[in-house]
Amino acid sequence: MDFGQVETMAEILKQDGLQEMIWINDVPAVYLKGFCNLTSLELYSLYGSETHLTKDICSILLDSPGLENLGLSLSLDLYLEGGDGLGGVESFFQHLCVMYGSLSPSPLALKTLRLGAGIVLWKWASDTSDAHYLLKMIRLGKLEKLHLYNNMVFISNSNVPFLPEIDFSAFTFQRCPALRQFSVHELTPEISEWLITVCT
Amino acid sequence: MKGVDQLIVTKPQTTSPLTKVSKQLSMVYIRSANPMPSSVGLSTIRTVLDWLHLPETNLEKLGISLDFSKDWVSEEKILGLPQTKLTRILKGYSRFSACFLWSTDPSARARHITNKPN
Repeated sequence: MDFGQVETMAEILKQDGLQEMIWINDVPAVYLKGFCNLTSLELYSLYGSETHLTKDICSILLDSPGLENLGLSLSLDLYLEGGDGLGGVESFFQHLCVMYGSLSPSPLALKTLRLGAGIVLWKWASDTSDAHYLLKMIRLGKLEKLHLYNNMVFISNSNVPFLPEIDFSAFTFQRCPALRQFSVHELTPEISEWLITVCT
Repeated sequence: MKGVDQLIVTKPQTTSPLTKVSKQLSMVYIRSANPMPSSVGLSTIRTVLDWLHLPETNLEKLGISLDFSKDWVSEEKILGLPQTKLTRILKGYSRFSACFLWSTDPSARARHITNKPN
């Protein structure tokens, strides 16, 4: 399909009252406006302007208050442009959560959250467990499945490769009473430690 | 509250023991394990199974899918020795009710097995 056909298809899908959208490969920012009332949204290998992606996906989320399933990943090219997790494209998910929180007082009650390549739960120094950016967009009380992809190497602003450390502080046992399934690429010692806290 | 009881992991590490959570788990799926010695291999799987302490576990489902996507792995090795070895390892563990093995390569999967030790 060329871009014109994709654009036409996207328009038809919007008008048809699409409820579940899974776009597996190379999702460009340009076709993401206008979807609403989705129960499931999975967009993988996103590319294009981070500003547009954040705005457009936030708009879909705001217009889909009944969303139960969210999956996101960035294209390799896009997230390798990032820096040390403190403000660039590598902070896409944080930006999305903060933007959503600033526009809606009602976090999404997701059942499934899939954070794929390029989507890192960075620890932000200003956040505490109670004021975690994730909680601005997602209510964790109904979360049943959490899938994380942690096989990513980032390049710091000083050109040093490093593995991001995932911040699990939002996912406490008390906050995620329905969590049953956890999926991860690499079972690191840090993740094993966290796992102990969410397994009774 | 029940807590996490299903774990899916692509690359288990021998430095991250699961012993403390093993009794809680009802399903473990080791995804894309590679039967070749140089990769996440049979020894790691054996270690993970040891951690799970299967004779005392509540595990109902154990899944191990093998990554046969690398071209250099010959079909003989895919369907031959490593498979046999893995099956033998699994047969050494008893008392879990379901075990499934499959290849990540669909064409091999079609000819593959649903393997129930014991």
